[in-house]
Amino acid sequence: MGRSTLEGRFRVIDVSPDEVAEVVRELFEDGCYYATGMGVDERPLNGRFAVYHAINCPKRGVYVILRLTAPENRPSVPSITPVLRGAEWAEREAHDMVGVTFENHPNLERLILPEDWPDGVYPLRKDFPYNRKMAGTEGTAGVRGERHDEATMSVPLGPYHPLLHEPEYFELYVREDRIVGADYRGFHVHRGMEKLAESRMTLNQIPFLAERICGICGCTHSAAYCQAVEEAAGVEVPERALYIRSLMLEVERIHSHLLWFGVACHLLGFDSGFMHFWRAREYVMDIAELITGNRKTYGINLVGGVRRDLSGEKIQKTLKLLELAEGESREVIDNVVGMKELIARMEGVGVLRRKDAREIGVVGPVARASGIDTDVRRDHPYAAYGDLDFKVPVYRGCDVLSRFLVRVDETFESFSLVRQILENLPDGEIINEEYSLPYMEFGLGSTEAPRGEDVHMVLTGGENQVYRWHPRAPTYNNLPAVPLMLEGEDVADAPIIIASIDPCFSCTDHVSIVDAGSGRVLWRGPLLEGVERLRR
Amino acid sequence: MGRIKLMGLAVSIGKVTERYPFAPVEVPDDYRGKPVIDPGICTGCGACASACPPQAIQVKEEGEFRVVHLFLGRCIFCGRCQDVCPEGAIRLTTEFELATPNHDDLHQFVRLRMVRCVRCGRPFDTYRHLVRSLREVPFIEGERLLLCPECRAKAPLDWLEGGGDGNEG
Amino acid sequence: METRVEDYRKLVKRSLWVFHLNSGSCNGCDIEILNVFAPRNDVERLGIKLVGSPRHADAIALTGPVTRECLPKVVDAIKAVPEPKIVLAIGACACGGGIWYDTYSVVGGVKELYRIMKEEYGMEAPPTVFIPGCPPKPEAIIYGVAVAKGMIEPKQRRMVYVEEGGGDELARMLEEVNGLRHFSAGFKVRRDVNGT
Repeated sequence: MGRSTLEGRFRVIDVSPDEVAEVVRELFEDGCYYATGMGVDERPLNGRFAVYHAINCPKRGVYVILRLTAPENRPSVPSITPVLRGAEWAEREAHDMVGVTFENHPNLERLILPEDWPDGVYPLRKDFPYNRKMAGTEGTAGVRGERHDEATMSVPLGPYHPLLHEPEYFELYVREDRIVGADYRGFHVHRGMEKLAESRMTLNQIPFLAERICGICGCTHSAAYCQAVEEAAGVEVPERALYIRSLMLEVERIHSHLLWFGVACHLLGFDSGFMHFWRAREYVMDIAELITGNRKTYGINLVGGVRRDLSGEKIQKTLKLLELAEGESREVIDNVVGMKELIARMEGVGVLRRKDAREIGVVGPVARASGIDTDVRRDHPYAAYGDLDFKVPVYRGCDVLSRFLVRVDETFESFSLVRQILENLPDGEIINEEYSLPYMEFGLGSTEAPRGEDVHMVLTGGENQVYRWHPRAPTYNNLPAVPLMLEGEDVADAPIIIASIDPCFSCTDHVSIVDAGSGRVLWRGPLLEGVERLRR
Repeated sequence: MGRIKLMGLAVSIGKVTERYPFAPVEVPDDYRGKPVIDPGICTGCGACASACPPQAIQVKEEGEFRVVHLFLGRCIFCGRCQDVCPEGAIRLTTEFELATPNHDDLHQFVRLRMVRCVRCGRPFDTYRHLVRSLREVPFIEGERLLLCPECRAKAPLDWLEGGGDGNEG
Repeated sequence: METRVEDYRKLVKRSLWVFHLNSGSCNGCDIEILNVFAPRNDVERLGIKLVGSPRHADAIALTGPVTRECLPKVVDAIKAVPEPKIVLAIGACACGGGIWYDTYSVVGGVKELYRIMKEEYGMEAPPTVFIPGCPPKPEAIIYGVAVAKGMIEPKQRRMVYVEEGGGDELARMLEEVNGLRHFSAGFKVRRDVNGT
């Protein structure tokens, strides 16, 4: 087991700048989509910059990594965005953070760093110290938004808004209560993690950093990171560890989905639903606390295995709590799904057509609600999923309701998965610490987070460190679809549409975006205006 | 229809709210709460500091003392310190009621005396760690442990010949 | 800072209305804050309520390490809360900068935030209750609120241990060091250099 389940998860191919567009087009036509990309400063090794594009081929169960390089004095490679829209953000990010230019990119503007960050300073280049503080910022809430005619009003949403529990900024362009366009400025939660990981942290500290990419789905990030390193270093992971990993990933999925149902009810003005879902969710939190010692940040994954074993007594307690959680969730969901008013608010709202979904490369429940049959657990089996039995729900409604129903089905699949894992838990060790870390080996780990595919790429460094680590959270792929979903909808539906992708802003911003709403939706005069008034 | 059922559900479930803070809550025995250094056991080896992901534990040298400084405000309660501590001196308790209006309350300091190098006189290791190391290494190595790392690297040979200024009185 | 929280208690006896200010946190603390309002803990029974605007608030629940991009917006939001106000610094990031306390993109917790507020905006630091945890349990957050309201005397205390020097303890250890030597090559650990 261990290595064998991951064998052949990816192929790294060096491509020349002339042929990359053609290769990408062929892959896309073959049913692949853009997973993620990273720029790497490889100057200390070979005097070049490199760009890694990871493209997911679910049909073949493999990730194709296209590696492009450019010389130090002319860091420029052709953009693949014109061929594959999904690459837009990844290329802008590489431009922002490493300083690689992409020829023919339609919109190569700043994505992540603050507006007043000095030009020509690239935090992910190796000569930038991770703890250098740049001069203070004057605040730049706002997007470089398009200008509209006078009949169009722009409604700012954020950076602090009762709907968003994270600082993010959406600008909605509204004409007579209809949204005609939307723009987004996120990356308020950029915390410089990638740089931190490659400078201050050691190999086994990074799982804890990865876990803090997101407080809701942290475990999936630490698992993906560990898998990437295990892949690069060829570490055998004991079978029991893989099962415990899967267990926590599924517990996390249940808690995350129940959380989302609550938030969705709340945004639809149905607060009783919120309360009932969160009540049922408490049992899941208790399970996590019992097994890992914390409700949220499980801290269970290390390279080579897991940290805590599961005693028979804990298994019995877990099963009892699981029964409570499942029974109560079932009751609440059955009630909510039977409510006509709620269904009417979700049906036909926030449509994302299958074609657009494919081009943008949306993942997880958003993709599955638009008729795309994809699930990393099945297409690229990891941890214990190869041995487990589960269905992948796919809906073709393309609207908010479909996204709701996909999550409903998934939640109950997860309950069944947790049972299967607890019943079939193999005996043995829980961690393998006998491994050596190779130098400059590439590794890729991917997991199906509650929000979709989560991909981590790692280049190992010597001395117990990584040379480069690039996590890509699912919201990063899903968010560009939001403006499309918003177009032509009522302003009042904007919150539920934005929430329907279950955006995780902190994941994306780790880089930069999640919201779990609470508070009525108020389209107040924004904070920003108040702020400007104060300044004057 | 659903709404009325849901109300019935709420009634049948009854009260779920805990009485906290007016009554205590139970946490599992292995809950990861406040880490505490047992100052009687800690040898100041620094293993916790090098494992700590947020650098909430830092080991510094201040003159005669090696200071193990645990800053609870930055601690992420991962428990790696407990995993790596060779002495079992740092443990995570189940204590989670840590709030305080006073930032100073969030610190724990363990100041341990250091041994001076028998050759150059520079403090280089804590007594406790040295005693501990002397117990575990072969005697020929043990002699060398009384030198600071620099002196050890500089003159390994003349030490064996019985030279050095540590020999008098 | 302790006295200032006490002053605040005298000024504000009513229920706390809280504005939740996320300054770039991972969501862990934010979800636990919401959890505090869910049925299991339901702090509305203590009169605590989340509000949508800083202008309605008595207290700020600050989470996150304050990222560079958020800094001016956080300062503005704190400014918008009327006096007297109190800050609940929730989680490792707000209390001490957390795991990323010293990166290029992060200010690093409320202490640093207050320094910048003082230096660049001329604002005084508001009274603050620190609630460590990553994330703190909902009960830990409630405990923090209880501390802010003076319902509970905090039990967390600064701990300083200084190893006894000089006297018997040191002599005993030196003896032990010498006792561990397996041959008597005329070497002794010198007392004089250690005793200062």
